[in-house]
Formats: sequence, structure tokens, C-alpha cells
Amino acid sequence: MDWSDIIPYLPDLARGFLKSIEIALLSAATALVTALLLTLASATGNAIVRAIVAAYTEIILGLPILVLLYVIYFVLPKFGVRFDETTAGVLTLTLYYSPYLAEAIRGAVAAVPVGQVEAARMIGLGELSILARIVVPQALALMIPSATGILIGLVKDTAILSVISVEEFAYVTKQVVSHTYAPFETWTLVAAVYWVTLALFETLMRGLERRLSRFRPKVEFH
Amino acid sequence: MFKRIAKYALASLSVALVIGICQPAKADALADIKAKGKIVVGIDPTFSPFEFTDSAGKVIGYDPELMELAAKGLGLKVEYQVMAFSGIIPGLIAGAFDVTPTINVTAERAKKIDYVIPTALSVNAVLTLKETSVKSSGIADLSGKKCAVKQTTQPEQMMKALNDKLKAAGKPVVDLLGFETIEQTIAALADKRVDCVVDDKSVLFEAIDKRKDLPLALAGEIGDAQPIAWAANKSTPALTAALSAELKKLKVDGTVTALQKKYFGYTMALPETDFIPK
Amino acid sequence: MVDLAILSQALPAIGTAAVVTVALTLAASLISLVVGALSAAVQLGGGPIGYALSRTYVSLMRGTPLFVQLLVVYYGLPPIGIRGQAFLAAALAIGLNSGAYTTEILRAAILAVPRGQLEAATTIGLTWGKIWRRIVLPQAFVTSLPMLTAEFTIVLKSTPLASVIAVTEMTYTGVLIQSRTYSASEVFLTIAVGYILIAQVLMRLSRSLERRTRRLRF
Repeated sequence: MDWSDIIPYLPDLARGFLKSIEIALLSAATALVTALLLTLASATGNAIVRAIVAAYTEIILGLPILVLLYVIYFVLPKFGVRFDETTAGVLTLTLYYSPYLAEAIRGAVAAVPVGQVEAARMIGLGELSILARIVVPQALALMIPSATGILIGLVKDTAILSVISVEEFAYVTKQVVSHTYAPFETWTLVAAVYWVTLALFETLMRGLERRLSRFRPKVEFH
Repeated sequence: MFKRIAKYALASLSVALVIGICQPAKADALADIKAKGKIVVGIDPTFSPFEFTDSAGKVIGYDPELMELAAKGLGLKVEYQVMAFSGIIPGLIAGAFDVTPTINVTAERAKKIDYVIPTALSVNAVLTLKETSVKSSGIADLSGKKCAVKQTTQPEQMMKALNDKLKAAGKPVVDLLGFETIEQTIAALADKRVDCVVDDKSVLFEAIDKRKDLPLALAGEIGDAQPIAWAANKSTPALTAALSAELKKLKVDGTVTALQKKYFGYTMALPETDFIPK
Repeated sequence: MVDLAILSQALPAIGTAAVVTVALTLAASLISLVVGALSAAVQLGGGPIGYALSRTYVSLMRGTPLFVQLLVVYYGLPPIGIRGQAFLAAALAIGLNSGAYTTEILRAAILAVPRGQLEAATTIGLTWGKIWRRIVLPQAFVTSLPMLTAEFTIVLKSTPLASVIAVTEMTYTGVLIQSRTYSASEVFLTIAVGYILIAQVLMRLSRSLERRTRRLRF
């Protein structure tokens, strides 16, 4: 292994990395909001709305994200709808990951014991404060493990934006490999950066989970 | 938390070591290949007319036909390992196959791989729609326009070099969009996301021919001709030399010229020495 | 816009490649399930070393790109004789990657097995092994079926990456056809429908399995 070849390209790689982080943060925010809307739609909407959300979820579960990106970037213009590269990428990540996140939210809300809600009604709490003080705090803690896995997927999938010429981490990496012909050195470095970043993210989420679940009875398995 | 990160860093180092294991070590690759009776060619046949597949999935094109003839001269059969392009460079460096065709010759790459003598000269050209604001293929007329290229290719690197010149002259650069396949660059042009496409001229001719539904037109050539060659692993110099010798024979007996006419419609004189740029 | 001639010519090749895609999905999912079950068991019942091993495995597999993992398995493991076995290497790499997610799914499901059952089982004198085999794992498997199915559809969708180590599956076959025919959308949409159909079959099978196993719970 000869690492010296990639040193001149470190600034390029750093720029690509930051671009990926920027896209990931933006997409994660829009995906979470969309997921919340999807959850609300399937919880409160009428039968037609629920059916649409269900069909959309089924399609996304079977559809490779690259196909979705192609449709948004290359097929929609034929119908007069044209997004620029970054917008098309963020839109793809949002549309693809929101059903997965909605599933995580739904699962977490369902896992809050019904008895607690009933008890809260008995002692006269209003629906809004039941939601704000009993359901949401617990559901947040419960959804963190699955949401973390999904968001890790989202961060890594920012790489697909490279196929529509967004100069993020994977795009720059491919450029560097084509200059240096040092694929193993370059990709090892890139994998290490991904790993450290995502391990940091995982650690933060675990800390958050611990904080949010401090009121829940602890379940131990030995 | 930082202890944990340090642990991860250490573990990732071990991953690097695992990858480091893969060192192709074949002292006498040519003898090995001759004993097996076949040469393994790594190829991404999505680059018509250089290499593509027929409707039965068979690998065909200018380079495959030439490669099969050169192999025959050495008493060998060709076995293709068909793979997506991002797998080609790692495979070549790791020695997963013996040779791969259609690699642009650059000085930087020559430090890592060996080149057989060139099989083609690539001349880049500028493709536009018939109704276009691009006046000519001159870089001054492309300044400030948007151009699609295939990412990580020589045309892209050439355009970046031309952009450096534009920058130095204080003019707006060409806004480059890099895609993965030539169809995608054409689609970007058709959707008017870009004003032009820059790629190898013979590839663009093929695109004009295949997409008659689009009003495509060639604005002209751009840049100098660049040699294209087969690339082999550094650890197999005997194989590289043997393939170069076979190619020279095929040039002398007129086969190369005939194949150029068949696949490109024109011929080109190919260098045999000093073809790696400094 | 849709050229039926291109489509009818392309369908046999896409069909053949779909078989590769399905086979790779099944092989990788099986590896994922076995590795994930082992890793979850070691994490919860394997002491501090087992815990650390399993956590590092999960974090490494989830935290690095699958592309890199494919290269490492294919080119980095010649001592175990995997070189040249592209399909096996792809199944192993994708399976190991997915195994990390399966670990997390099974871990959550195991933790959800009511404690009372374990206490009751211990009280009536069941051995440790029997508690795992007869009480914990079957229930964990049943409760996690929907999540596991979602995970295996993700396995299906990661198979196109195997094309970088010379496994010609459905997506790459489409790319080959597209680069010959310059077809804009026919091939591409056919393949999209192909993936959705395979995923639908997978999800329906899982749902019928879920219905049949529901009686096992509680």
C-alpha cells in the first residue's frame, strides 16, 4: 500500500465529505417531517388517504433508490417537471426514506402501553397533554434504535447523488481513484471516515436514547 | 466517547491491512496464462463502438475483436469478466484479470499500471442540439456554457484543464456535469440541462446514429488526440510485451486498419513508442 | 415513447438476470439470518467480550460502504479460496452487511420477550439451552418477521452492487442493453417493475408465514 499518492487529493476529499454531510442533514430533516406527515395521514386520514399511503409504502419497499433517482431526474423532465441536481437528490432521499421512518414512528407509538393512556384519561388529562407528556416522549425514545439504522442508510445513500454529478464524497472519491489508480488506499480511507462519522452518530443517538428513556422502567435480559 | 473512536480507528487500520493482503504475485504470468490456455479480460462493455454486447449478450466491438486476434496469435482463448466500471480499476490493481481494454493513457496512471501499445487515438468532439447557442467547439465559445461529460474519463479531465486556462484568462469556466454513461449525458442534453456533451468523436457519432429521434449535431472537435491502450498489471511485464508484439503484427498485416474502418469508419496512425505523456 | 421491439428482444436477458438477482437475494438473506442470530445471541448472552465483538461487527458493517465490503471480501480473502467465486463472494459480503441490521432487529425482539415467561421457565427447571431454543428464539423470530422482511427487501435492492465484482444481475444487464440500444426508458422501467414484483412476492410469502406462526405467540 502506498498512501503518498492520495495526499494531494485530501482537500478535494474533505470538500466532498462536507458536501455529503450537508446533503444528509438536509435530507434527514425533510424525510423526518415527511415521515411524520405520512404517519398522521395513515392514522387520521380517510380510507382513500390510508390506501394511498399504503400503496406508496409498498412501492418504495420494492424500488431500488437509484431507480427513483433516475425517474425524478431523467423521466420527470419529459412531463415538464425539472429539478436541479441537488434538489433532485434531496427529493429522492426524502421520498425514499420517509416511508421507512414513518414505519419506525408507527412502531414506536404502538409500543407505548395503552394502559398508560387510559390511566391518564382517567385522571383527567386532556388529549393534547397525553400526547405531549406521555406518548411523544416515550415514542421518541422507542423509535431511536430503528431510526438510527435508517438514518445511517440515508447518510450512506447520499453517494447515489454522484451519478447525477453532485460533487459529494463518493463522486470525489471516484475522481481521485481515476487519477491515482490507488483504489484500495483511497476507499480504505473513505470507509474509515464514514465509519468514524457514523460511529459518532450512533454514540450520540444512544446517549439521546438513554436520556429520553430515563423515566421508563428498565428491562434487563440475562 | 473518544476512547471508542480511537478503538474504531484502530479497527479500521486492520481493515486496511486486510485489503493490503491482496498482492498479485505472479513471477511468470505469461507462462501461467499459456499453461491455462486462456487470457482473462476484465471489461465493462458499455462503450460502443469500442466494446459493447450483441443481443445474445456476447461481448463484441473493436477492442474485443482485436484482443481475440492477438490472443489467437499467442495460442490463447479470451475469457471475459464482465463487470461495472467501478470494479475495473480495483480488479486490475488486485490482479483479478490479466488485461483490460480501452484505458486512456496518462502519466499518473502509468505509475500504477502497464500499457500495451495504443489501439486507438481518441479525438474528443462537442455534441449539441441543432438549435443551440454554442457557436463552435472552440473553448472560447464554450466559456460560460454547461457541458455534460462521462465522469472520471479523459474528456472530463481535458475539459478541467481547459477550464484552468479559462480561469487564468479571467473568463467564465465551462460548467461541467459528470454522468456515468453516455446515454445519460445525451439525456441531459435532450432535457436542455446542458448546452453540450464532450466525449470521444466515434462514440458521439454512434449516439447521433442511435438517437435519430433527437436533433443532435456535432459542433466540431476539441483538444488534442489522446492514445487509448490496453492496460495490464505491473507484475506481468512479459504479458504486456507479448501483447504489444502481437498488436504490431496485426498492424503490419493491415488487420488493425481494417477493423478501424469497420468500427469507426475512419483510420488513425498509432504511436508505438513514447506514447505515455510526460 | 415505448419501443416494444427493444423490449421483446431484451426480456429474455432480463429474465435470466432476474434469476441471478433472486438467487443472490436468497443466499445473502440466509447468511444474514444465520449471522444475525448468532451475533444477537452473543451480544446478549456472551459476556462483555461477546458484547464488544457483536457491537464492533454491527458498527463496522453499518458504518462502511457496501462497495468497500464487497472489494474486501472478494480481493482481501484469497486465503479462504474465495477468489474467482464472484457469486459466493457477493452473497457473503451482502449477507454479512445485512447481518448487522438483522442483529439489531433480533436483539430488540429478544428483549421484548416477556420476563415473566423466562422466570416461569426457570422455575419449572428448563435448562438454559432449552429456554433459548424453545422460548426466546421462536418468539423473537415471529415478532421480528415484518422487520426482517423489510430488511430482506433491502438485501434485494443492494444486489446491483455485485456487478462490480462481475456478477451480472438484473440492473447491470439493463445497463448493458441500454448502452447497445440507447433506449431511454423501456428497459429501465421493465427492471423497476421487476424489482417491485420480486419484493411483492417476498412480502406476501412473509405475511402468510406471519399468519401461520402467529399461533405460536404467547
